[in-house]
Amino acid sequence: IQRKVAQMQVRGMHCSSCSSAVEKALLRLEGVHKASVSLTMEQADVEYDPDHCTPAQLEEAVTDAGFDASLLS
Amino acid sequence: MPEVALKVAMSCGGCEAAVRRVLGKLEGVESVNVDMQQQKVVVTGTASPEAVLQTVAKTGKVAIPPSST
Repeated sequence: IQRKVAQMQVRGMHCSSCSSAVEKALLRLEGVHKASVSLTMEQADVEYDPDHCTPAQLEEAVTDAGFDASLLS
Repeated sequence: MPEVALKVAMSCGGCEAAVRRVLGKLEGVESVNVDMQQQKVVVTGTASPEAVLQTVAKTGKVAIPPSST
């Protein structure tokens, strides 16, 4: 299994349940191994398998959760 | 205009904004009314209860389907 890490800026989170909702949304995606969302830094570090999902899908999962996501790296 | 009422667990303004934003993007939704005290969301428009429920579920928040009483 390949592991890549994507860093995303996530705007609009106000409390810990917001960041856990984003984490849950990301972990639901096939191919996502780990998702750690930092409320204070408004950032999400996602470890995923590039064969199973793409950074665009990561962004879409976060926007589906109702937050603004923009890929950092 | 048909309405869909849904109980949604929202603990802060950010959660409310997130629910409002995803429902706003849903087709057929005219307006979204959020009641934080009752943790209830009322969606007016032609969107079906299933579509509304699925959209809210994608936000990872607990959503209780509309009571069919």
